[in-house]
Amino acid sequence: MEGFTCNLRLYRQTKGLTQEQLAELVGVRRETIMRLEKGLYNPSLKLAFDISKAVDASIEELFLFE
Amino acid sequence: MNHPARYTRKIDPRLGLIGFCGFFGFFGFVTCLAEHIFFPFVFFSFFGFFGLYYEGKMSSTLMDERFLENKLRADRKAYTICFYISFVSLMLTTTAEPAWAWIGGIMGLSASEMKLMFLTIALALGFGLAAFLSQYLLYFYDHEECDESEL
Repeated sequence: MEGFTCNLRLYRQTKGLTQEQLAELVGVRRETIMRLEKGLYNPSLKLAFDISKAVDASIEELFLFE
Repeated sequence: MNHPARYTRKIDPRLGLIGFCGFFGFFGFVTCLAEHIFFPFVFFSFFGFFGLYYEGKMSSTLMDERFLENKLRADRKAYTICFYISFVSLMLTTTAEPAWAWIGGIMGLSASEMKLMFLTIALALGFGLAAFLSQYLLYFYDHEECDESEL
């Protein structure tokens, strides 16, 4: 996805979570987390909020649109 | 964060073999020419059951927002194609009357019977294609750009 950067991997690893654990926390599949981390999927606002709560980071820190 | 988990239904991919029943549709040409019976062409719609193979491969999958988004995308594309096939078929049957009569003459059928045969085949294939494509495209979209080694 052009102009979309996701820093989720960094924050997830800092929090000590695996993709599987994070996926379970936010109610999505591991493949969705994987695509998010690769910047291949643009999440809904709700999912973005859930992820930001799960990894204790703001949405602005997690997702960057250029 | 409360997420009621919803999963896809559990289906054996081997059920996709029912799709081979679609070949019974070819009996329609025999019955049509011999007895002027057209209903066997409806069996062409059974080709849609090939989609069960892909649905089976996605059995018990958590339907998260990306899955639902892909499902909408796949359904929209499949039903659009089905609509175009139906529309073009209907348009063709309402035009070129001499051509229908000529082709019908070769096969020993009237123009109306030719149109009925064509429309039955086109709609059955269109329905089957939509049923198959909605499942195939969902599987394709769900697995595109995915490096499985990273899962």
